[in-house]
Amino acid sequence: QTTLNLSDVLPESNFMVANAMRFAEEVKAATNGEVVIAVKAGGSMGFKGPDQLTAVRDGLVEMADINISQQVGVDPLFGVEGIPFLVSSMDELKKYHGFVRPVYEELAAKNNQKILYVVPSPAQYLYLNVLADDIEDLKGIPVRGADKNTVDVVTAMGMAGVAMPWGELIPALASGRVKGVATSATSGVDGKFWEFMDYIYPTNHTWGSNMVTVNLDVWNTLTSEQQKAIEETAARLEPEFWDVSRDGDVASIKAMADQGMTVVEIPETLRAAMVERAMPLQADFVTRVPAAAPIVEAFKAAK
Amino acid sequence: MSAIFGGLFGLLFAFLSVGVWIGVALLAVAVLLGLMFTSLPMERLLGQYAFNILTTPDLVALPLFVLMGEFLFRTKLSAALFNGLAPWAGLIPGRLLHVNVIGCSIFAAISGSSAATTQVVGRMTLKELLRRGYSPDVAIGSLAGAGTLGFLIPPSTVMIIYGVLAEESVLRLFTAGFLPGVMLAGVFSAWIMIHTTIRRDLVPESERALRHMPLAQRFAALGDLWPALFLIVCVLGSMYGGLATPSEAAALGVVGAFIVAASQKALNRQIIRDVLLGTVQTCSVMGIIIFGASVLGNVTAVLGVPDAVAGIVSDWNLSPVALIIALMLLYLILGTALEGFSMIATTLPVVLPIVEAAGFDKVWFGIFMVLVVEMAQITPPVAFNFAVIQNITGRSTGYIAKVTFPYLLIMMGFVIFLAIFPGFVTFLPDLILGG
Amino acid sequence: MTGGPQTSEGSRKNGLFAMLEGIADGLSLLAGYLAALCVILLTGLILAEIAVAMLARIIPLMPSGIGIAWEYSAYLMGGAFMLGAGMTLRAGQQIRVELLLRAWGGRFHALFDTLSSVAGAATTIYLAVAMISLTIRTYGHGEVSQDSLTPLWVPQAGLALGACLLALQMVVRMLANLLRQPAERPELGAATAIEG
Ligand code: NA
Ligand code: NA
Repeated sequence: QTTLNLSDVLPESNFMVANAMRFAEEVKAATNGEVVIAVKAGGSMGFKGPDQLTAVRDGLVEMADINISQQVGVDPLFGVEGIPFLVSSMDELKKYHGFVRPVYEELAAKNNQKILYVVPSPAQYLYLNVLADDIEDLKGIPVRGADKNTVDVVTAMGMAGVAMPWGELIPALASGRVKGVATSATSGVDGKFWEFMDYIYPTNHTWGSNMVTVNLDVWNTLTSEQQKAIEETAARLEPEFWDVSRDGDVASIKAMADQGMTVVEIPETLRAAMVERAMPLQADFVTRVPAAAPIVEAFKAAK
Repeated sequence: MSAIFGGLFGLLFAFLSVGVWIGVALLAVAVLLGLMFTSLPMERLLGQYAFNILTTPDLVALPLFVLMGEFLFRTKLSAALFNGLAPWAGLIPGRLLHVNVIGCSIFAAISGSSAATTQVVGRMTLKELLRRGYSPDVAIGSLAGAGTLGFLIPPSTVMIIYGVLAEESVLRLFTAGFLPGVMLAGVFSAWIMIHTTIRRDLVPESERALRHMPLAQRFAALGDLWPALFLIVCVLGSMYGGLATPSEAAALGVVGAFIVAASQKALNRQIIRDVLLGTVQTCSVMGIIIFGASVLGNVTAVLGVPDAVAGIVSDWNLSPVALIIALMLLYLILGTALEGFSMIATTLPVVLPIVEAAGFDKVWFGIFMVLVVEMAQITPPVAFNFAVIQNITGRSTGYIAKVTFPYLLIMMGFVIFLAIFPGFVTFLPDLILGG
Repeated sequence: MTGGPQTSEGSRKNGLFAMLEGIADGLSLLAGYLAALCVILLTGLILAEIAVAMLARIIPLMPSGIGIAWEYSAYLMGGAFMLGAGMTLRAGQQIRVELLLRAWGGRFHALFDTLSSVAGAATTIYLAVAMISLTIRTYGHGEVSQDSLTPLWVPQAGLALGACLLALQMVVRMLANLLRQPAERPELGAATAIEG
C-alpha cells in the first residue's frame, strides 16, 4: 500500500477539497486499496498557495491541489487564464482549456510533476453596495482584489483596487475601509458578503483553475496498472468536477440572493466600457509574457 | 501512533527540562519526529516552513504592538493613569486596591500583551500601595490576576494568533473579548471588596482621606487620563471608524504612543535605543516560539497526531460543559510548563474540531483559549506574569502563587460560567458585526 | 524566566575564544540594529498605506494603496523576528523553562546549561543550513513573488542571516560553557525588564 499526501490550502468546506476527497476515494477503489491519497486540507501541511507547485517539485509533498494563477512567480505563463475579459463563460473556458491545457502539462513536467486533473474556479463577480449603470458610477470605490492581477483589473475599470489579506478583509468591510470585493461566489458566501454589500455584478473579469498534480519521482514508483487506474479515474471524474464547480457557483449565488443580495444584470454599455478600459491589460500581458501570444491568438480565432 | 506520542512528549519534556529555549526545543522535536517517523526531506521542508511562517502577513500587527508597548513602558503614562484613577477608587470598599484592576483593564485596552500590562501597571502601583500600607497579599495577587486581562480586553496578541490559526476574524474576536473582559474585571473587583470586608486589616486606616475629596478635585484628576484615552482613540477609533484594518490600527497605536512619549519629553537617544532593541528582543522571543510551535504543528499534522487525539477525546463522549471543564483542566496542566502561544498552536488543530462538534463556535472557543492562556500566565513554574512581578518585587514564586490562587479560582469559575452561558461571548460581536 | 549570567571562576580567558566571542557579539548587535530598522520600516510602510488610502478618498487619480505594502511588511516582520535572535540569546532574553536548571539548588546548572547549548547549537545549525539551501534553491530557480515579482531569495537571505547568527551564538555559548566562561552578556541588549 502506498500513501500519498495531497496538500490543499483550501478549507475542508471548499468544493475543491470535496473533489479531491472524492478522487482519493475512487483511486483507492480503482487500485484495490493499493494507492491511498490522504487529503490534508486547510494548509495543514504548512504550505501556502503560491508554494504548492514548488512543494511538489521539490518532493516536500507527493501531491497538491494547486491554484494555477498563483504560480506566476515560478513561470508567468501560469497567468494565461487571468487575462481580463478574454473568456466570458465557462463554455468558452472549456474551449480555452483546449489551448492552455497542453501548456500547463508542459510547465508541470518542467517542474517535475504530472497533472491528474484540472478544475476551474467558479466565475468571478464584483460585489458592491451601489447600483451602477454607468462606468462613472464605479469611480473611486475602494475594492479589494485577491491578487495583483485582480487589483489591476479593478483599478483599470476606474475603481480603487486594494490588496489586503483575507483576514483583514471582513473587518475592513465592516468599518468601511473597503467598500467592494472582486472574487468568486463561493468566497462571497464564506465572507457573508450580504452583511456588507447589496449588489452582485457577474463581471467574469478573470478566470482561474486548480490542478491536482503528483510528483514525477513518486509517480514513477507506481506500477503501470496503478498509473493507468489513476489516470482513468482522473479523466472520468474531471467533467463531473467541472459540473460541481458550476453548481457550486449557482448554489452560492442563490444563497446570497436568499440573504437579500441582488444579482445585477450589467447593462451592455457598462460592460462594454468595463471591457474597453481593461483591454490595455490584455495587451500588457502578452507583451510581458510573449509565450502567451500564440495561445491567445489561437483561442480568439477559434472563438 | 503510541511511538509517535511517546516521542513527542518524551522529547519535548527532555529538551524543555534541561533548559533548551522553548522555540528551539519545539523546533528540535519537530525535526526529530520528522526524521524518525516520515520519509519527508526534513531539511528542505524546514527551509520552506521557516520562510512561510516567519513572513505570514497576518502576524504583522505583532511587532507593531510590541513597539507600542515599549514606548509606553518608557513614558510617564503609568503615573498619570494612577493620579487620574486614585480619587475615584477611594470611594469603594478596598479602595486603592482596585487600582490594579482598573489600571490593568484600561492598559489592556491599549496593549496587546498580558505581561506588558502587568509590568506597566505593577511598576506604578505596587510601590505606592505598599507605601500607603495596603496588604501586599492583595496588592500582588490582584496585579497578577488582573494583569491577565491584557489578552482578554482587545487588542490582544493571543487573539491575533488564534485568529490566524483558527481562520477566524480578529475583529470578531476583539469584539467578543470586550464584555467577558469587563465582567472578569468586575468579578476581580467584587472579590477584592469581599476580601477586604472580611479582613478589614488589609486596608490601612489612614486611607480615609480619599473618601472625602471634593468632587471638583476628583474631576480635575480625570485630566490625567488623557494619554490613555488618546491611545484608545488611536487604536480602536481608527479601526472601528473605517480608517484602518486591525493590523494598520496597530501602526497608529505606535504613532499615538510616540506622541505621548514625546509630549512627556520622555525620549532621548538612550531611551530610543532601548525601545528599539527591546522591541527586537521581544519580537525575536515571540517569533522563534511561534515558529517552533508552527513547525511542530505542521509535522504532527503530517503524522496524523491531531486526528488520533481528536478520536480519543471524542470517544469520551462528554457533554458540552463537561468537555470544556475537561479541556480547561488539560490546559491548566499543560499551562504549568508550556507557554501560551505554543499551547494554542500545538493543540488547536486537535481540539477545535471537537469543540465545534460539541456546538461551541470558533469565536467562543477563541475566548476560552485566551482565558486558559491567561491562566498559564499565572501557574508556576512557567508563568510569564510571575516573572514580571518577581522582577518588580523580589518575592519568591511560591509566595506570588499563593496570593494569586484566589484569582486563578475565579478565572476557572468564570470559564465554566461562560461554557454554560456562551451568549456573553457571542452577544456583542453578533450585535455589532452581525450573526 | 531567563537565566542569570553564569559566573566564571578562573579568568584564564582563551584568547582565540575571546576573539570569536567578540566577532559573534559584534555581528549579532549589528543584525539587531538591522532588525530594529526592519521594525521602523514596517511601521512606516503601514502608516504610508493608511495615508495613501485616506488621501485617495480626497484626491482623484491617487492610487488607493501601496500594492506591495502587505507583502513587504511581511518580509520586514520576518527580519524583525529573525535578525535579532542572536543578540537576544546572548543577552539572556530567550525564554526557557528553568525547572531542573534551578532544582537541587542549581547544582546541575552548569551541566544542564551545557546540554541545552549543545542541543540548541545542533538545532539552529540545522535550521541555518535549511534556510541557506532554500535561499540557494530559490535563487537557482529564479523564483519571484506572485504579486510584486520580487526575487524571493532576497528576503530569504535576510532570514537565513538571522538564523546563522543565532546558530553562531549557540556555538559560542556551547564553547563558553565548556570553557567555563560567562555565557550571557545582558548589557548587549536593551536595558529592559521581562516582556511577554
Ligand atoms: Na489588550
Ligand atoms: Na504557567
